[in-house]
Amino acid sequence: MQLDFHYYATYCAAIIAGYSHKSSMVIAYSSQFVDCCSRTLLSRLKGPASAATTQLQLELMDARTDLIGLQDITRIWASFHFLPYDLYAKKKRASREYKNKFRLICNPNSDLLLDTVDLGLGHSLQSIGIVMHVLADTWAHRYFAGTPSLVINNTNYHFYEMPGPEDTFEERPVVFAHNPSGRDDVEKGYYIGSLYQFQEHSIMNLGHGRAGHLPDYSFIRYRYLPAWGDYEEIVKDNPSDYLHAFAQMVYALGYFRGEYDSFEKDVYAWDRIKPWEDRIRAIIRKRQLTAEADWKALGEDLSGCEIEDFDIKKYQAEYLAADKEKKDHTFLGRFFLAAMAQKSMVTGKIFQSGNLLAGISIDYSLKGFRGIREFRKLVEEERI
Amino acid sequence: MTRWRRFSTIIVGLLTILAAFVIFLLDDAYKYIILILGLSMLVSGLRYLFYYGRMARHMVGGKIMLVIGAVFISFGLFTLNLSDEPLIYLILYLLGFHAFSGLINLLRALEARQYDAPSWKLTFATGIVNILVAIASPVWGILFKSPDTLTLIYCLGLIYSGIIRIITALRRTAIVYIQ
Repeated sequence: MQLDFHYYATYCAAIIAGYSHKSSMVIAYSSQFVDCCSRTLLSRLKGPASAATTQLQLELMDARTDLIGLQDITRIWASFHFLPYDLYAKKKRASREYKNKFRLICNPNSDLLLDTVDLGLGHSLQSIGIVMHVLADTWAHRYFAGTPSLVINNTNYHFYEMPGPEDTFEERPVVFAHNPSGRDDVEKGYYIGSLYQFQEHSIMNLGHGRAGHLPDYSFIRYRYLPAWGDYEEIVKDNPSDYLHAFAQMVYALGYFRGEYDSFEKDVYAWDRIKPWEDRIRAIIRKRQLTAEADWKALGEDLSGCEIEDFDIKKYQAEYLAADKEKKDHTFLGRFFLAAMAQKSMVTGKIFQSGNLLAGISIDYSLKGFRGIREFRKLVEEERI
Repeated sequence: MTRWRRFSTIIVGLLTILAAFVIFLLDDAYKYIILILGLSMLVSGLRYLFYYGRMARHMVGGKIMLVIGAVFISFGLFTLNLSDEPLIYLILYLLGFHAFSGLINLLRALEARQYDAPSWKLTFATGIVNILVAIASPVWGILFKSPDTLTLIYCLGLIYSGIIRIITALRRTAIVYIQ
């Protein structure tokens, strides 16, 4: 997913769930900021490097893919963009090494999603924004894993774009170009994807890189053979998945507002979105590189307020100017704490399942504080 | 990183540094470097065969790994059999490795600068050094016929790699999990 959904659609979901314009802006900003909070940005802000929620393209190109490097990459991408579905999934006659990767495949409605939502409950709006990002990505990024892996994330020539009801073209094969500075042309069916690399841990094999940006477009439908799928074809219906993501976001936001006693899997706020469902469906199905303008117009109609454009620098001056002891109370300080809490939780769950792909996690309640010092913030201060 | 992994990484790092010094002190050291490169390719080929058995046999189109393994083994054996003018292979290795690393460093520095990150200067300097080494390799190797200088560059690379391994092993990497 991209800015159109993580920022504008998230704003719409928050307004429909009953949040004020101001709170909805905080939630939407935090949701989008997950795609911006890189180590490079954190180094400029002198923020905690462990709060990184994404990696820039060239950070990835420059990243070491040794054991520690891979664990770092997996912590970031599995925690925020490819939440694993089943950490105990079975696969017959597979080696442990293979199963560990297979178990990181992302899908919606997982146990980890429940843990993620619970982690946001009672905490800052920045926390809720992060939850919205993670939840939405479980739909867009399903069937891929947040770790560099050829045997899981590869795709091949068997990849076809399927026309929607309004499309005039016939089903057509998708041939990905490998031009990093190129741009997709959705009308001509010209798409950019990562280069085939036969090294298992090549950064080209992270997440949905081999399927290009297709998972990020709400309008598209395609069928393909996932590397892990034993030659069974998958039909990815993004319009349906994006609508489910939106309805589940509204439900989760209602839960945060105390409207439900618990957050359950496979529950959607269809009744809440019904008055706007036709318009939402139309935005999702519209064939365009980004639906920012349409979501923005919907959001402004819903709230009657202007939605300002996303500005990555909006809260940086506040953080830089704050005294050391007050940084955690700034907008970005709260975001960083929430990000570290999410990373700590997901890494902990992966480690507890016996899977070391995200590295070692030390249970504070059993062994006290050990490990990366930056996480001491989570222990010393009650999360804001 | 487990304790055993940490220990073994440090040992490998120390052995890498030691190997660099030993290679540099040998006569016709570049021939031994070619031997190392050949053996590396041979081991890579065997690893691909093993990778097929452990992982890629579950992957759609995974049989290609058997072919890749066979190609690596063949190329490794070919390299080990080189007896005349192996210097050109060392030049090509150094040129390719440092040119690619330098390019990535420079692009990375430009990206970091866009974010006003202070790290861009160090990354930029590293990129320039890598590009200079890439340019220097064919100059020394072909124009000046100076294999000793190429050997020195290769050995410095090994020492750097060994130090990075040791630093990596000593870093705190565990994440605290608070329930």
